[in-house]
Amino acid sequence: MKRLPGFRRTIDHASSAARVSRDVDDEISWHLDRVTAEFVAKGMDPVSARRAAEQQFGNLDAHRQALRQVDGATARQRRWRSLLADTVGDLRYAVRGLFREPLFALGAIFTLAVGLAANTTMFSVIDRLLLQPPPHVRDDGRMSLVYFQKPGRGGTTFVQSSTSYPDFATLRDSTGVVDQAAAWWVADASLGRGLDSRQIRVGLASGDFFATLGTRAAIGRTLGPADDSRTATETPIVISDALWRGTYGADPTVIGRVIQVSQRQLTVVGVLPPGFHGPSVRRVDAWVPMRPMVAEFLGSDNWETSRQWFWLRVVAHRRPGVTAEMASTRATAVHQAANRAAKEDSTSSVVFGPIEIARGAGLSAGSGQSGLSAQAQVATWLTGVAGVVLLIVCANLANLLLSRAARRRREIAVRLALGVRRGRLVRQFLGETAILCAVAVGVALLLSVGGAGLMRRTLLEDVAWEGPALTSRLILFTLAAGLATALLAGWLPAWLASRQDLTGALKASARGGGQRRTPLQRVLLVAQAALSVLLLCGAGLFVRSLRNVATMPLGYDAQEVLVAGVDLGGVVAPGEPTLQFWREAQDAARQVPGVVSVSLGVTAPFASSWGTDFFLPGRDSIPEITDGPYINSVTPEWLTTLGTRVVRGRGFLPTDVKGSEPVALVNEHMARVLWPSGNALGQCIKVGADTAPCTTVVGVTENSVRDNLKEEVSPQYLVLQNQGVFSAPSWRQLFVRTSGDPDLVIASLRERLHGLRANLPWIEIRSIATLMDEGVQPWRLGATMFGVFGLIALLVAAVGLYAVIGYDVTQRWHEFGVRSALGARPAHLVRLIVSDGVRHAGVGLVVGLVAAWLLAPLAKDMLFRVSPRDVATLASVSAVLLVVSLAACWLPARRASRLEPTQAIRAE
Amino acid sequence: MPTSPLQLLQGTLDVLVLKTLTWGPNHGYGVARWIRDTTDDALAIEDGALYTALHRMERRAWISSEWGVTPEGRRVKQYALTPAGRRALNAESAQWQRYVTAVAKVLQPA
Repeated sequence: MKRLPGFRRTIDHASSAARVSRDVDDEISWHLDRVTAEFVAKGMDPVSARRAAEQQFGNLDAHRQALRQVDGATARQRRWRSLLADTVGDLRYAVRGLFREPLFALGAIFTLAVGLAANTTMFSVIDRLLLQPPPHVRDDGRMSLVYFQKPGRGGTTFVQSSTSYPDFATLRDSTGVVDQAAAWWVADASLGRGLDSRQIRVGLASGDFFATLGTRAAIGRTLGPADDSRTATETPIVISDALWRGTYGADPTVIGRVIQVSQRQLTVVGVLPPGFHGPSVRRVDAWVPMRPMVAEFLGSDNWETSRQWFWLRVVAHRRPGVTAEMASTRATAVHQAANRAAKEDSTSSVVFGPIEIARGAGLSAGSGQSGLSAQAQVATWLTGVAGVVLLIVCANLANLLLSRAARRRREIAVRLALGVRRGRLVRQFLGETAILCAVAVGVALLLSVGGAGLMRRTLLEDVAWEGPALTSRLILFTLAAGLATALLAGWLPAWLASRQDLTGALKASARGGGQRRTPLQRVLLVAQAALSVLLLCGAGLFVRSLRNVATMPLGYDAQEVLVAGVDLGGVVAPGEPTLQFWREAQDAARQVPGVVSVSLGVTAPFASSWGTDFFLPGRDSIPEITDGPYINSVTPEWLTTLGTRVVRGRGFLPTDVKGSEPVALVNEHMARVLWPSGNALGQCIKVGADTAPCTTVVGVTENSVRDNLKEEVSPQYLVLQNQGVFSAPSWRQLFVRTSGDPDLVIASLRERLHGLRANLPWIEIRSIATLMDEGVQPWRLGATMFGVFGLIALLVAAVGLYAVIGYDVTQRWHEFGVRSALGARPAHLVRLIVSDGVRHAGVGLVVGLVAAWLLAPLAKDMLFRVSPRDVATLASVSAVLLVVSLAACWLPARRASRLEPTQAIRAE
Repeated sequence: MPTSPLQLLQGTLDVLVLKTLTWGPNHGYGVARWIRDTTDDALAIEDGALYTALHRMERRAWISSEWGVTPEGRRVKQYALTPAGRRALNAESAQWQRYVTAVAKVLQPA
């Protein structure tokens, strides 16, 4: 703007209300003075001149008010505009700054994104398992899953999630604390017949099930009390959305269709909304009324009266105003009275737990047992681990920002000297961090979609988990986590940078050595190393557990042995026809390419166990055996098929036939317990009754795992089916030893077996390894996720160390030049730099090891045959960390050692 | 016979002020003085109304303002035309010319 002559220019704009008033007053008074002077010059006396001037101005007060109002609005508008302009300017400045140091930007974004993605992925799991009520179940705060808590040995408590039908009926009808309650049980069933059949999981629901849950059908209707009757002419079934889409092509005319489920013809009456699986986290494909269907699956008539059979899960809707605690107290009293009256165990108490099934009975479950499901337990752990990863990432980002601020020390000082306010500087630095975090949040969301997908498919395979991978909740969570990270990591460096000593920084040249690492940076380096050590220890322990599981001697070959079973009810008559079928199955299996050996058994590892009365001649009781002994009745090829070794004596021979002397094989444990002197061979055992004829022990086999990897080894023995030692039920399972890919054998074996009889239901064929898998899952989940997170942590910590040391080296360029000019050898310089960096890693290592030592017992329950304070693990983690930190320091150190002294000293 | 001062049409004051500022930046008093001198006091303009017009146009960014100090040390606010103000003036004066021409055609003796 051109100036009027003689006017000095001042830079200021009215901003406060007081300034606005003063400006208006000044402007008006100057105007009046000038007009007055004009009139006086024309010959008026000063007083009337003033009056004339005011008259010419108009209503003074009204105009003054109007001007103040207009100016106030102008000032506000200006403030907003300048704030907006400043912000845009700051962000543009930040983006330019980041582009100037792309390595810094990429490193920060990458580590942040990985840390955020780990947390988002874990949050999605926790959200599904623990935070969200099951889909399509009413969420009015009065829903509860019901648990039963029993006093156990040594003051512990034992939580039972299932109960008997009479106990459920008592809870529903007599406690007065619930207005609706339902029970359910889930069983495997075969859908359809023949080769096209498939296995589905069917829920058996009591009459009020859907009413209690408040669930409505998407098409047709749900089940009601009228369906739950033995006398109904047709039995209805409602199917899940997934089954409807997958098997029936989303055909709306499926309603009214009659489908074959195991041995029954059921009429489809409804399709459930997508994602509904009842209060369960596992997939349930269809629901049927309990009363008409129980016999199908349990083969029992007295289920409505037996108080000893705990099989039902119970969900209840409390009456208005009744809290879970009140309901638990009241229901416990009624429950115990009912059991006392029935002369049953009356010590268990009722617990109204949360409706989220993975949360279990909640805190009231007592000490030692959180009541969480295995997946939920591991997921909770992993969420903590992901949080630690994010902490490491925060520390790393803070460290990178501190280094960057130190690099820009002189630039900052110049800007401060030019009058940029410190608040503005802080804002600029935070803006930079915000941009980094915003980009990182975007990348993290992409990564976590992949991560969650991977988790769903592999590690949490048996969790029913439909719906999109990216929900608004997840996006919000990631944004919040990103914001928290930005503030946590960005605030302190920004604040410190803005407070630096101005003249000192301006005077200092690069030759002065610049700014050395601050104590804060040292602490951050140590913390990163310590946290990484903690995670790596966890990873190490889980990996060792998993390896122990994998290399554990099972007593049979789990990978090569397939187990085939089928429910013959309704297709093959029990007794001799069933046995005949199994003999044919055995022959058919031998024809399948890739099958090496075939045998029949009654029970299968990890699937079933059988015990029967067991006697030794001349003894009334056998107190040595507390658990078992467990019997299996097999064919002579058993040991070959399973790959079980004979330790002493002999195995079964082709000469052990019907009519020859009955023989048995006992496992080492049983032999040692019963005949400690080692003379098991030739002993007589009596199976089924003490009047039974002698069965002679002819061999001792190695111990084998029965149904749980963690259990103590149990006494087990084998007899032969054809010798009639053991009048087992006629059901059988077929054991097939394969060479090559078991999956190829499974398909052709299934085809062969279906060829034996028309209309066979689904034939379940799995390897023992698959049966075992459910038990191995927690360790695999732990080992994989701890491993992944531990590696991420190590990588981030290494990048952090590398960046800080590298920055240090640049700062001390001149010093190194002088040193090498004075005769320091390259090796000396390398040692100087590396020892400095590794010192931090070393301190972090010690802190991390101490923390791991203290925290380890918490993970005890989740480990397998490895001490939580396993020295080998701790030692290898230490070695890994030291090697990685050496490498991270050595790279920048090498650069310094190759330095030409003259070059470095001249460089400024 | 003294003629009574003309009452101003709505919006006309803005055009006058903008036109005044085309000669260069000026303070409120200068603008008032210039209009009065140029029109020989023919227009009845309250000085207060003039200032209101100035401040309003400042808010609309037609003119910008700056504070200066006189040799005597008094703070004085001066105004200058912005490019937006110049565009507004051109539009307004063109409209004014059309209006005047139209009215003149009617009033001209046939």
